[in-house]
Amino acid sequence: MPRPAKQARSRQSHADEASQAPSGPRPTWSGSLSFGLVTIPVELYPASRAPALRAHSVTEDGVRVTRKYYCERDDRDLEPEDLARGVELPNGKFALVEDEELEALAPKKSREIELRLFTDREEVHPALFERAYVLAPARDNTGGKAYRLLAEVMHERRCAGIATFVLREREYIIAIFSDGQLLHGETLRFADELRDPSAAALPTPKPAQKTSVSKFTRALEETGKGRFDPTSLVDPAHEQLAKLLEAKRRKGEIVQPPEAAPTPPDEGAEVVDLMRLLKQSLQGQAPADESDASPKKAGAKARPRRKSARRAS
Amino acid sequence: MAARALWKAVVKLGKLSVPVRMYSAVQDRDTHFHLVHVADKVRVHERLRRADDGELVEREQTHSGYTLETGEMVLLDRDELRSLAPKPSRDISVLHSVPMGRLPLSAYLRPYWLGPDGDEDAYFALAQALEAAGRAAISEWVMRGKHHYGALCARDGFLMLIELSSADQWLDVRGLKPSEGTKLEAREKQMAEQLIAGLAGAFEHERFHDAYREQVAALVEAKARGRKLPGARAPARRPKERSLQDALDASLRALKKSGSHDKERKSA
Repeated sequence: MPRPAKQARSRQSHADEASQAPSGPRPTWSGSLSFGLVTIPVELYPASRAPALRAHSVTEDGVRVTRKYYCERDDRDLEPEDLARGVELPNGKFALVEDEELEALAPKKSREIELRLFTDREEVHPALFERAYVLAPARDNTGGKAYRLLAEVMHERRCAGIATFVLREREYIIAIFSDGQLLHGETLRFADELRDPSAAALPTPKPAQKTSVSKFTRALEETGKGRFDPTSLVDPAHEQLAKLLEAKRRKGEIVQPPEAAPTPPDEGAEVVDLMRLLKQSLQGQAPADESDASPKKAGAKARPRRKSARRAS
Repeated sequence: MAARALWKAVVKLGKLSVPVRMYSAVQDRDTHFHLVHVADKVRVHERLRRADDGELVEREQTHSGYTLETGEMVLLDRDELRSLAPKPSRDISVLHSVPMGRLPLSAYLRPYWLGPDGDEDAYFALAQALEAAGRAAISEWVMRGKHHYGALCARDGFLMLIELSSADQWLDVRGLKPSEGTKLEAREKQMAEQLIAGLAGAFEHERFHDAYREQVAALVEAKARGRKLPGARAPARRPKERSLQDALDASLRALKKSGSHDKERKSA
């Protein structure tokens, strides 16, 4: 059966994991952070959350729509066990790649982020950032003091800690930053995932005319006046969307979704399921009934980290 | 091979304009598989079904359903969604400029290179002005029917635009902060500083490789050439950083020298 670990992940799409449920956000990973011989229990949370207004695909009477994979030959819906990853051969046929083959290549799980290098934070450019996390102290507050110590000293020295660790069967480079109180983690793109300007055939930089530079410098100073509030960076479409929904609601254009109908798992529910499965597999249990699993679980990619939402849209 | 421009635009800073072309600054190196039906090894297709009775639904007949707090649902059809789309524009408008480092790290999404589209002097003047000021220009633009925010900055003498996430999607971290505890002692801080100093060094990005990705690519290539599984072997470990052992020894010595720090040596 295809592994459930092949979920789309991106800086946006995994927001559900951290959505502020009554029980609070749920850690993606827990383990320890170490520097030298100091070990600090920590929990890793995605630093993004789902937008407040999210739609599901529904019919005109408000019933959820689910995606099913099917085979054109026998026109039958397929279950996860009917699906596999395929590599196209020159003759147009497909060779299968089994889960076990990929598992054999996957790095071993790690329970530790070992900071073996501290560097100036400016050396880690935001262009490298792939996914943002918060690295919070363990909720039982063991290691609270060591955590505060590291956070404070890293902040004062303006440095970033660099480590590699394994998350969901992939090894990542992670850079740890401190805001003085809280540690933030950024998984980094590997060097070969970044394009340099020569790939875009950009012309060699040359000094611009002094008068032009000072014109731009003045214009930058002008726009830089006044306080900037980062929380003002909210997509203006959200407000329009909220207004439209409210207007329709007032006009009574609502549907009452059937209560009893089994709700298919949406993306968020899948993530929760994934966590459950991972936990169970850690405990050596067989995963519970998965019959409600969406076919998306099959995951057509080895590492579908980037959903289309994140592509240059 | 030169990458193709994704988009042509004009950076608007006050009354100044800089025509640019936008290029992706990242490239996907992952192996992507097709999803196939195990039984007959053909590619599978997707279709939609109602969750209640399983009846087939055409994609064009689906609506976006927003569930309100009241449990009621409001539906938007395709035309209504289209009415919400922002007006098309070629402008990348600078809203503000801030020192680099002012933005929350978690807001950064995806980098693009901007290249000059004509007026090279204006292009390099903007890059050099940003560089000298150490600032990022907070900008907004509409591309392919969607509104975006970004941080425009100078990098390697060129303009780079890094897309930023919408602030309503930033995690509220207040509940995650460590609780107050006993005050940190000067001596503890001094030791931590020593330890960090012992592990300080340059970040050599190129030294890191995604071994798993490389091996999946090799496996797939072997398969595509019709070969069997090339004997699954343990993933090759990345060569360790030279200074690791030295650094660890140094940290050990530093801890020993200061003594009486046993409580922090065990998982504190």
